[in-house]
Amino acid sequence: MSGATVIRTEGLTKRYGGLTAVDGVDLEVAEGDLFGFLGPNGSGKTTTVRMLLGLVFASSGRVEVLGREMPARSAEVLPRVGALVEGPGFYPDRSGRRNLALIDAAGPGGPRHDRRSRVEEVLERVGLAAVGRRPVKAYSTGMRQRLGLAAALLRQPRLLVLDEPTNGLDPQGIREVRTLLMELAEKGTTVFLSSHLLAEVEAFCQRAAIVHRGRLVAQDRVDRLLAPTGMVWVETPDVDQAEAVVWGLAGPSVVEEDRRDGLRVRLDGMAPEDLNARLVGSGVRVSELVRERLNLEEVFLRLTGDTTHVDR
Amino acid sequence: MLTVELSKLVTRTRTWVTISVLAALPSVVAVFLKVTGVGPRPGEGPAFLAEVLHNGTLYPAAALALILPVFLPVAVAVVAGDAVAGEAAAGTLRYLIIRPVARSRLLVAKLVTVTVFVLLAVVVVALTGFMVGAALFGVHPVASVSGTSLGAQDVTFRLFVTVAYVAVSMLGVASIALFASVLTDSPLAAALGALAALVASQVLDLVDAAASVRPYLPTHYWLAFVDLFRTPVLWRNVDRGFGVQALYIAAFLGGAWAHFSTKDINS
Repeated sequence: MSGATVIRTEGLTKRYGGLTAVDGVDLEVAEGDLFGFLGPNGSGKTTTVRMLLGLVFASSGRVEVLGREMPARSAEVLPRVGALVEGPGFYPDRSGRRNLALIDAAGPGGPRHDRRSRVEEVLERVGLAAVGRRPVKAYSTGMRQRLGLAAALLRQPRLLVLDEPTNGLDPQGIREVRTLLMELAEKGTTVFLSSHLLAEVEAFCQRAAIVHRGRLVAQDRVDRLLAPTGMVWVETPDVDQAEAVVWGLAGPSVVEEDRRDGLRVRLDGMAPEDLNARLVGSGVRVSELVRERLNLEEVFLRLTGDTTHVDR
Repeated sequence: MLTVELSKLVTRTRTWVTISVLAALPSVVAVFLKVTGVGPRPGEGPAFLAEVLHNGTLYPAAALALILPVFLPVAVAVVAGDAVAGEAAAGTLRYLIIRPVARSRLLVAKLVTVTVFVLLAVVVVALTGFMVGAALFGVHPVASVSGTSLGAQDVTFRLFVTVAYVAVSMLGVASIALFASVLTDSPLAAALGALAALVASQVLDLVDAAASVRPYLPTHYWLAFVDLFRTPVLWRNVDRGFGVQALYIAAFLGGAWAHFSTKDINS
């Protein structure tokens, strides 16, 4: 969470004719972050990712990656960036190994003498070591996705930009990718993960930005985005008695009382442990007292009032 | 990047199938000529075919004249049209750009690769033409189109210039196709776009009302290499052909570069 800023955008905007795809986005991603970039399909995520990588030119605003201006200095920046943008892209008639060797040979920073060992190493890492010589067109979607990840890892990048990396992977594959990303992040690789899957960002990332219709609606630590809502759920067999106690306190109020097994209380400044002490002190038997947290879906709903395009 | 492109070209089955087909057509024509002995009357039909019935030496030039109007430009348009649009369609263009390969380098690598393909195709066709011609019709001293006889060295020189001339004409086609290839993400659209331009040019070339633009049409001087076999060589149209192609190459490559270097890669 400390250290240099790896990605910084200021007022990043992309217009296509009359349509504003990305509208004044300010991002800040620190070194070593596992950063989630969350939004429904069509919210400008991919356009933003493409602008970070110099594929698409911004209409206005600035992009800085690894401390350097993009796209002006992409020749210095991009050799240290690995990316997966909108699905992997490979020559279908050639094998995975050959594809990796070709893309490695195409640009700078991929020395020839250790190319073969690097290719084998990344294939091993993504679980494709035994894939053999069959052409990529014979791969399953999940295998292609793994090969795309392998290509992104080929030169030990300092920054990984991954657009929907678990697309087409089975639960086992998703777990493997997650472990892999955690390992990389531990070693100091920054991961920028763009996704429309709330669960993915929730499970992978420490920090997240939420984008909706081209605008940034939130950017914070995931645990803060999912911060307590100021409500607690009190489970008790003595609902009526508990209700009476809460109404007798200055501050807290009961917000839901129609259930027979407990009540929801708005704390309004009171600490949950104090509430618990008061209840127990008044003879209410408390079987459970839980601080309510939002999941990202509810955060998203709150911020945008729109869940129509969000998949859980 | 260039090495990668060249290795992609030579390891691709399509390259060799195309070149084999290009070389096969004149060979088939030669066999028909030999078997039937029916050649076009002098001055009619594809250039040189009337001559080669008795002398295989000029068959390379005849072979090039056979594939030049349609076959060769189609092959060149397909290969050059695929150059950038094919990468876009396969989803590999974005990965090349972020590899990173500078956009201008990528374009130059593609251009050089297409040039190598053109040279390869023209040289293979010329060599096959020579071998087939020599085998079927024999090698004799050549009388030029103008009637005087030409020495072996002279003929070789003229054939070399012919190969160069055809190659440069095809580079004109390649430039148009490469330009189309950066405009679209569909290799098919790029190849057809370039071919449409050539067909339009050939149609205009036939319309007398369009005579004023004729000398600037990309296809107008394509067959001017026949003049290389006159004595003395009639350089006027060949020179103009080289000039017109140089203009097209410069204009369309310039356009391709200008567009590609500022283009949003959304493929």
